Amino acid sequence: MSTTVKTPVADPPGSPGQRWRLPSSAEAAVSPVAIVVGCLVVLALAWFAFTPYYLYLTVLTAFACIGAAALNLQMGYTGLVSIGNAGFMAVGAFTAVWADHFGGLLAGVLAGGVAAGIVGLLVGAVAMRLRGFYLVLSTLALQFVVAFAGQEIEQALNKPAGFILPIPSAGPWQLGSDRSWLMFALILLAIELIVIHLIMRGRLGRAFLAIREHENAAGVVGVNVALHKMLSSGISAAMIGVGGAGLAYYIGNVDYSTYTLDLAVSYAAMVLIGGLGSKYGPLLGAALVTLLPALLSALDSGSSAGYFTQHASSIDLLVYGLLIIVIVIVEPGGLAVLLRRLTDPVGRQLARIVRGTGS
Amino acid sequence: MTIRHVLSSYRIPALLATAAVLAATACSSSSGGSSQSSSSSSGSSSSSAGAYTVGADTSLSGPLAFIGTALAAGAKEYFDYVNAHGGINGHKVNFVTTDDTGSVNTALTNAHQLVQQDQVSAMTGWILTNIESAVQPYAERESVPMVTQGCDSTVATSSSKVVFCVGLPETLEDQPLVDFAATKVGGSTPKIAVLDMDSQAQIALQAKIVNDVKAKGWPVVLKQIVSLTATDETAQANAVVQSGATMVIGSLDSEREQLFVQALRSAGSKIPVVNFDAGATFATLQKLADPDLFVYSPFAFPTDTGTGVAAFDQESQSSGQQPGTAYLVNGWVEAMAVGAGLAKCGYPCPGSKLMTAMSGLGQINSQGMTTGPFKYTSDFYLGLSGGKFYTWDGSGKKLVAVSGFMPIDAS
Amino acid sequence: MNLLTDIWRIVVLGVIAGGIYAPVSAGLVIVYRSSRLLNFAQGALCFTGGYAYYLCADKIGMPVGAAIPAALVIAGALGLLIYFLLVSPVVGRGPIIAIMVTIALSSVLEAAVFLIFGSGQQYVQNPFSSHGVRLPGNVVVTPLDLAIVIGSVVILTALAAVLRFTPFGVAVRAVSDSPLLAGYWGQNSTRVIAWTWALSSALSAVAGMAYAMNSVLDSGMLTLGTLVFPAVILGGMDSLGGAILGSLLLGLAVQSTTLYLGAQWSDFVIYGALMLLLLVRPYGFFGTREVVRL
Repeated sequence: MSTTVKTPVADPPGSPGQRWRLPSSAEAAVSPVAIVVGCLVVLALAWFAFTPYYLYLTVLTAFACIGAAALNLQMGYTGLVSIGNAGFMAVGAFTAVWADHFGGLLAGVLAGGVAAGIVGLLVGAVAMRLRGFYLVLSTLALQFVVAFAGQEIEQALNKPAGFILPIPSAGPWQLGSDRSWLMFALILLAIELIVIHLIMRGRLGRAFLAIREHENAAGVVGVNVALHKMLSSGISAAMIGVGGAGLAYYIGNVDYSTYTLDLAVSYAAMVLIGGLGSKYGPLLGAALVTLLPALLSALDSGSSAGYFTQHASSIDLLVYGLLIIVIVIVEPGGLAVLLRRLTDPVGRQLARIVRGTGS
Repeated sequence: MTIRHVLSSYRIPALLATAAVLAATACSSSSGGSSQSSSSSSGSSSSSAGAYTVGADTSLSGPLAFIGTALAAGAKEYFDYVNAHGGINGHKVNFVTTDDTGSVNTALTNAHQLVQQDQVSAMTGWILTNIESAVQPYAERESVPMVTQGCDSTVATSSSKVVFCVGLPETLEDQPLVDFAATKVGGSTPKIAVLDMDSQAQIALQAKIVNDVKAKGWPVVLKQIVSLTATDETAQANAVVQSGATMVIGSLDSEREQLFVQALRSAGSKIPVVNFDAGATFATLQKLADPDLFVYSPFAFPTDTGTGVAAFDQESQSSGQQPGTAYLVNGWVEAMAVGAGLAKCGYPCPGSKLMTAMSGLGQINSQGMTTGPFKYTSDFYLGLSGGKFYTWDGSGKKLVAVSGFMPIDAS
Repeated sequence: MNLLTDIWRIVVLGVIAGGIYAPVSAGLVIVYRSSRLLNFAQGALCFTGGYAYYLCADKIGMPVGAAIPAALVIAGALGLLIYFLLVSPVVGRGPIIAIMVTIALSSVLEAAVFLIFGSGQQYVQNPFSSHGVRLPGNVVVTPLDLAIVIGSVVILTALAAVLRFTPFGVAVRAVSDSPLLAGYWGQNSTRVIAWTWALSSALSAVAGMAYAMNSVLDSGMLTLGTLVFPAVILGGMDSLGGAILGSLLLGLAVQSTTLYLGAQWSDFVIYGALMLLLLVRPYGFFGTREVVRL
């Protein structure tokens, strides 16, 4: 069904060759049917089967997926490293605070996306000629600049605890309960994944993949590398901004201290752990990273207070760091590949059964 | 599309869905809101007769860890003490702590966990105002009271019925500071230097202090804002000396207070320093041993008398804490407030019942742990309404009160 | 008159700050030259170095004269460990992997230290008196400050000499220029690169100890690593001299922004300057221009 092409190695000499499976771009992103099915399944589960606490965690995961999938567009599909995503979330959130006065939730989220997208285009323009570490540093610089801007805004407007976003009502719909928040987040996520699918299926997506595989060759065959780098950064930033604005509404509070470098790194970790440039990778990674603290504390249930609760945050940090290292060294394809390894035999078996009974 | 195509395309989501359903049914059937992740702090005996559960959501790591760990330790000591003396209404208290790592998202997640998983009656230990602001709407929705020592004006004056303060809002401390300074003035007109730290609330406090000083007809010869993380105060001390000030009025926390006073005395100046309540840490004052340093304190010191103080000292020592540690006493009194509420509430006491009980408490007998009245009513959620000024008594090696009760202007 | 005292103050404090930044930058450069990666865990190495000193001097109770070298040895060993476990598996796999691995390393190191030693801040033994000399212009300089500056100068001069004159230094330069050719000449590049990591960790440990003695041993030190990135870029990622100069300029820049604008501006100004630098001259002033192979 798919063509597996082993591209020639484009690494510096002496390195173990990287075997990229270059997907046909149509297959690169999650298909719309799978998106809708997945969202409905999650929604049904959460609605009927989850406790309020798991429901809350699912909402957080959904918002994390929005950011991770967007970052995957830039880092995974276009090969541009970025740890500036917390800055884009902050831009989205702060813009939402301003735009909320004009049109409530929808205006806030939309304006947040547009503003973040514009910043993303600008950053993309600045970083056009930069590669590798220099590119990362430019995104790191963005982080500090945005954090500072947020701090100054809060001081100027006398908001030491940040801004409060009111509980939104999008039309006749009051977003008060976690269930309605989950619906909202899943709708945003579904729209985003469909957009990514459409992008990757078309010329834009092919250009992104070409840039990732071999930037100079892409330029030679006629891809406008500079423009597409800008677009990748801008589109990715816009979606991250939407996610940031949505999450800000959910939390209810916008403060510059939320958007730290650690937050940015956690999103990069989601993409990496899930599998850079894979379909389901960012979603799997987002789920794991978001649920990790809850998982770890659940594992500890039953033991008495003291070591674990005292050191919960250090243990989280340790496991999280080790996970990244292990995934990178052992299975660079991330969770997506691991999962594929598990499900491949089952899928093949199922297919064999079906074939046996006639198709 | 053949069935084979369908199967191979959707195997991953299908498998995930199946796994998720299995996991969800397993989890939701077994948990049902039991306190499986709660950790009993009373140590020895199991909770046979059913126990109250109280939670803390505070910074156990990061730069504010010294505050959070002390608040949690102080509260734990109090509940240990209570549990060892028959509990509240015959029931023990389970105290659960969570670490918010200074992050709003983590704090909110912890709050969800405490309320939904552990089913706490109240949450204590709050430090940062942005975290409090973020959690407050959730606490209101769930009707679980928040007991906090971080009471800047926005939290204290909000019409929320869910936040109970155990601390003085910084911006309201100006009047007692200046009024006390007036008692130290003697004959001539003093020249005042005002030093405060770099936070929104304290910059506002400085403006108020300056106004109050000018209203008394005294000149302000120096105003300084000190960084919250400053590790050196010699520049400020020199500036004070050079300005010719005869008294310093300020709002420095214990660290900065220590650095500043030491630097000031090394520079040869003996002028009195009048400082607000965050400088009222026994350990710091003991180290400075300065009879010209006067701090405003709503809480008692370990060297005071009172049954509560004796219990606090003893409990601290048996759990390996120095009673003079910063914020330890704050944690104890926070727990005391919750305890008083639980006693009135009866058993079981879900958050909503506790809220009603606490707002109807009236005066709480703090057993000498507070230097003034300690009360909650339906109009008054601040708990404390002021304090006394203390200074070091070299001969008795303790802190003595040098003023009567001086209230803040809480109107 | 006022401007003069301001400048004096900036210069004195800036040089002292530069004395802490310089070893960190040097560590970054050395590792970049040998492994071609930007080490996001450099700040964490300062942190572990400081704690190694705390372990030796305060916990075990060694005299300071023994504790400092002991801490350096521990730091060096840690550097070797990091190279063999973490760096050699990911060599050559591109910037994304290298960055994420070093960031993950930073998290692991930070978490491990907190789990072993507890998460509060610690005070360490300071062998230098903190009784300062008040210089004109209200600037106080302590013996510790002097030790930091002199120590940095000595260590970095020694480092430069090692790189230029000793066989090891020649090997490092050969390996960083071309591992293949170095291999032909009989250099065991793995061993050389491993030692550069040990050296880099030890350099960071020096900075970590200096920071801890100067104020307090806490997680604020972790930002040292990212703070010196602009200094290293300015000087060129593979130039030791450039990094040292950059550190000095960074120290001056931080002090001037703190003095004139306030401490909260310093991150913004430094990183804003970095942005501009990346636009105009990403290879810095002393670095070698990278030729991109097609």
